[in-house]
Amino acid sequence: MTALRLALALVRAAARFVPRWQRREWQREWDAELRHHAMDAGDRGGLVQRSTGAVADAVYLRSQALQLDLIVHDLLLAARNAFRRPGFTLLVVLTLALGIGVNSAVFALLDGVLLRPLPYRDPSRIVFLWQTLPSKDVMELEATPFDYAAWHELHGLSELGMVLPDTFTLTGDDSPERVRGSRMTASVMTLLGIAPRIGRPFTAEEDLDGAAAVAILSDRLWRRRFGADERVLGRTIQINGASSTVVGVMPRGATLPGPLAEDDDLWLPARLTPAQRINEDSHNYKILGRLSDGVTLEQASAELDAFAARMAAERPSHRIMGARLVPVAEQTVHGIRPTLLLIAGSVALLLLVASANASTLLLARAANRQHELAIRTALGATRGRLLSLAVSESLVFACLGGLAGLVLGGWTLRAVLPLFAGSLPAAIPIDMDGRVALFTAALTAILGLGFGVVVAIHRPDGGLVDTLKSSGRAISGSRGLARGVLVIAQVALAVVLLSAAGLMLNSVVRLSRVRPGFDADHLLTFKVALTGSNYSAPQARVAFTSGMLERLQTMPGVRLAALSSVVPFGGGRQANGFEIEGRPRKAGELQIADQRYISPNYLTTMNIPLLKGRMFLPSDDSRGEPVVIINRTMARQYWPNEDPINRRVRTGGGFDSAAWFRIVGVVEDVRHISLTRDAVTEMYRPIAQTATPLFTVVIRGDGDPVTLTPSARAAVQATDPNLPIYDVRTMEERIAGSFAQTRGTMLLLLVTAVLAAALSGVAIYGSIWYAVSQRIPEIGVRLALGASRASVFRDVLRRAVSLTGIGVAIGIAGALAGSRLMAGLLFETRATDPMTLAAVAGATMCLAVAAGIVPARRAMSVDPMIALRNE
Amino acid sequence: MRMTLATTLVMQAIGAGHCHGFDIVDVTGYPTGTVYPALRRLERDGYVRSQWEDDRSAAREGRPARRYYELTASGVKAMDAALHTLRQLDAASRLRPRHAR
Repeated sequence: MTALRLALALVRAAARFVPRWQRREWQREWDAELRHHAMDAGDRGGLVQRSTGAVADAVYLRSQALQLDLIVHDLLLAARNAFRRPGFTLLVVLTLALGIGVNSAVFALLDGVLLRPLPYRDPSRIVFLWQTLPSKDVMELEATPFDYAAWHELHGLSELGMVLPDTFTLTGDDSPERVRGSRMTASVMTLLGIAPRIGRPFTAEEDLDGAAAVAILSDRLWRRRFGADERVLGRTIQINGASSTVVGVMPRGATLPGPLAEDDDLWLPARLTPAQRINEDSHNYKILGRLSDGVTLEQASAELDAFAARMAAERPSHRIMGARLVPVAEQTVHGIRPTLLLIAGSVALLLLVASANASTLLLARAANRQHELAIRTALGATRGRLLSLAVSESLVFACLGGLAGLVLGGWTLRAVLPLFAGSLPAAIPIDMDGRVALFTAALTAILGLGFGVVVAIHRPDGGLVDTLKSSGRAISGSRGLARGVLVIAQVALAVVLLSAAGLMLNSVVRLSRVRPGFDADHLLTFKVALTGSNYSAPQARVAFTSGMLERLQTMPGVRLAALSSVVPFGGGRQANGFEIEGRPRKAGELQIADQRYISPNYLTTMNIPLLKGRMFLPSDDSRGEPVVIINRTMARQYWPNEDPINRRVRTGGGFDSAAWFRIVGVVEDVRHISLTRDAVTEMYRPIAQTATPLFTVVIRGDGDPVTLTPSARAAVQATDPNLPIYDVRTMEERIAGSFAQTRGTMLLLLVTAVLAAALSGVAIYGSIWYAVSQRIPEIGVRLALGASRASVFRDVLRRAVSLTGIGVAIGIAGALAGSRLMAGLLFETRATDPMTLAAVAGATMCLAVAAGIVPARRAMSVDPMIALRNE
Repeated sequence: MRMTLATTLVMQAIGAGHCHGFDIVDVTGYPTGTVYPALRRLERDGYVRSQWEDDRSAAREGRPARRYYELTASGVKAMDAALHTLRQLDAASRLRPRHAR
């Protein structure tokens, strides 16, 4: 009887599919048949084979309960109808694809940046530790090795790690190359929960300078420079002219979090000297921490505050310093979050516009099918059946739109990512993945169901005779009103988007008009690092720079060549405290100026005007008196009513602290960090007096500066074949990069707004055209009774203008209400800028007139005789 | 309702007195996975009705009661129409001239 038991078990399993209310009877029937058969024929009767039919039977009953067969039928019918009118279908699908596509792409961005946890162990517990100078409004000051050691006393943090980002020169078999990297304590990798994919992580012994020099490569560097050879472990490579042994290769895409994520190619151990370990002035180290179990961020912050207060009281170096914790997720995304939210809001508005547009089209189509629906109703179709039909149709459109949207979304994402490349966290992969597909599917389903319900609600409820008698012309009041409301809504949303885009455009125009204080045209810039034992002596560095500048200067197409330790928009500031001779600093007062070490002709090459005194001379070298040129802001701030020339200043840190420098000139201000930030106090020093190893070369050419790159590289390597040039960019690229995020946001908003405006234009046109076609008999009567064609034209146009006018008013109100969201992203532009809002309103009204003209001309040209005869 | 060949033969079997599921399976030669969904459709559309065998008589024979199906009046009519169509089809196929290969 094993066969019977097996067959009964199969039936019991299949019974789960049977709707609950049928299940008992169903199982009883199958049990009885099987037992009977077993009694009559025993195991020989193919009992198990017969019982398999129970599965088909159960599935059939379930599908019948779900009315799946009807749904499938409705979907097939809807698909057939959609393909029967390809033009209409294409219009609806494209409209929806537009809305869904950009939303999918922006969701991919949002999901990658804001929603997904960072790729570290328990990332919500990881924090950055910063020092602060509250009185100077500095909230993120890098810490020192001394602080790193001191913070180990904190109970709220179970692990601490220290990172020093840097760049390194790789030499050896291949061509010399400058790569980014970081020195770090061994605790960093365990704290983050990352480890090399081959080889080993750093050991605690390697935190100290006695350990052998080792290196871990990034996956990218390993593939590019070492051909993904696993035998790289144990090999010796040359970093900054010294040998290091490769001990590991990181996994693909592994990076440090937040501001540390700089596409690191080299991971090196800290190897701190005893002197470095107790240094409390070198604010260059970024500190990571992990909250102890059971400790909240607030508790850990409170403990750190108290600790910082104690240090401020105890140590002169910490007198005006505080400290703070920032969760790693916030640190990673806080710069881009407002922009992303603004973009998400704007594409959501575009989706609403697209949905309203598609609804208008579907309503118009439903109106044209009144007869068919009236006949269906007369033949007994229930409201449920009509709803099912409507939802099936809109689901077919939405699904096609969703599929097209997914493709469009992929393209959009590829176009958008480069716009924000500089602002997006490098540790985060952003792609159209399964989550984005799921989001798109959900959006599609919601839209499909929504449209279906909207169309079904506006179906005719009049009798068959009324509907058939109406000859398809008279539209029901509610549907005409619905279409009007949809048009107004689209115009209003488009106006909100246009206003936002207009304000951003205004900001970008103003930003591009900001004068940086120098002439950025025809300037090529690149960096050079004099690393290794060859350049440990200042004389060697001076000899190299003068030799290199001579070669560059004689290159064809080069007008001037110069160098500076830091160029505008080149990253970094090199700020140091300073004191003025004969003017002692008050306690707690900070006098800070940015230091630049420049070749004598740098200011001339950059076209930075001299305001007072003189430029540097070739005689301002190590044998001459230490001299300095200051900028206008420094002169005004520290010698407001005096002549700073011949005054002397001394820096408290940097390469040449302790010596007094004589001020020999004052030059115009230059914006260094960004166009939006005013110039800071600056001091220029001759590089011949302080030969820094890291500098940026600036070449002013006659034509396109990019063409000078190969010969510049050759000129540098002719001086030293082991020196790479890196970060090669024109000055215009550097400036453009400094406001890339603002420009990217503006471009995206502009495209979104123009699409929304175009959709609104189509909606206005469609709505007025439809209204005219419904009113042709009435227009015919009016014309027959003597109305002028001009008055008919005006009437039609008036409808277009009045619908748009209401939309514009609502849109402007919406833009004003949302202005606070924009304020932080604008530059020298008020979020309620009346000129922008007026221009948007004017442009939208012009759009309305343009969209209304064709239907109005159609109305004007109605022949009364033909119109009345057709009626 | 779509009148497939299987549905028609199931109705014919019931009409001929084969009144429970496996009996119909045996006489039509269709698998249970075809016969039972056909029975459900026919019952849903009112062409057959079902009732349970008397429990006491089944118990006397020492077996569980089975479910019996019978044709309704509209079922008989639908079966006749379907069989008529089948016969016409059959006749039409006999009349069709055969092409020499």
